[in-house]
Amino acid sequence: MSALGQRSDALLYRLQASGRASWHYVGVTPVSPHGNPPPIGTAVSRRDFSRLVLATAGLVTVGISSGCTTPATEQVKDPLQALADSARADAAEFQLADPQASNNQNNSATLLATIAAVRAQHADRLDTEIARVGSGSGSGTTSPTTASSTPSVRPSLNEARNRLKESAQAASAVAVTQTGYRAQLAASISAACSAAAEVTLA
Amino acid sequence: MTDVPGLTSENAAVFGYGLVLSRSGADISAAVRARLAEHRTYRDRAEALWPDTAPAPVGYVAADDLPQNPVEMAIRLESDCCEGWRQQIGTATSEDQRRFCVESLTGAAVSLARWRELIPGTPFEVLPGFPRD
Repeated sequence: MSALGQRSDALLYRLQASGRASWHYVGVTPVSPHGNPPPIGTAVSRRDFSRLVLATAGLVTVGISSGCTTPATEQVKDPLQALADSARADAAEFQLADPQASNNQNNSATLLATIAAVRAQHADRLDTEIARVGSGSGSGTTSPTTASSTPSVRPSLNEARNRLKESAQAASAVAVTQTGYRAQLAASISAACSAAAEVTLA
Repeated sequence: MTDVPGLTSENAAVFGYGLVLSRSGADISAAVRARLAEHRTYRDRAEALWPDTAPAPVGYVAADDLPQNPVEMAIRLESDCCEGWRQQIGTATSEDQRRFCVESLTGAAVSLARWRELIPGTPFEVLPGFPRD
């Protein structure tokens, strides 16, 4: 018993700093052979360390995620903007009436002028909604596209019909993904384009 | 019970096109029959897409301002369908429902334009289903 105690004390003395040793400040609670353990100043427990690591990781994650999403939301374009652009382009092209046209072509020019007015109103309603939401800088982006895509020749009835059908499909796709008034507006524009292509220009 | 103005207008159209058919001559009766069959199909599909709705009414009373001319009556029915489906897409919750709303709204808008072609001087509907400014 005493021999064991003796040996154990000797062992502890060997591990414990006999002189000046700094190696016991590593987080392992030093055991003193006589009474209370000495106070540890800068020791960090395993639990505290993991808490610190988790907190740091959380901060870094928040930083990364906010840093990634902020420019993404700024760059997202309003899906109604594409519809407004094509409506403006249609309105600009369809109303180009040919002054030296025969009677038959005059009739088609009248039809196209009717549809051009309709498309202009579509573009106005879309621009109003885009400006209301404020996620797209509407008028600034529409004017250059209109100016660059305006041709000098009025499209034929066939071309106009195909373009209206494409516009109807695009508006329908937007209406399916949107909700509320935006879905209503896109759906109504899609229906108007279909009616124009299938009935008025048929 | 959900609010389904589109389905309500389809129910009314199925009933109303019977009235139109009873008043239409041989020149438009085939078109009326075709459109009646389309409205029945839309009504059945809408009932499947919005199952939690009241059954169709057993009968209707004609409004005071219901036109007597069958073409004008058909225009009125299609216009009501446009309005109903335009409203319903605003409250639809799934993409399937919204896809169907666009399809039925388009069908009504095309029929509306066809009937209006028979009456000279009628305007083109700029935004079918929306009240005119």
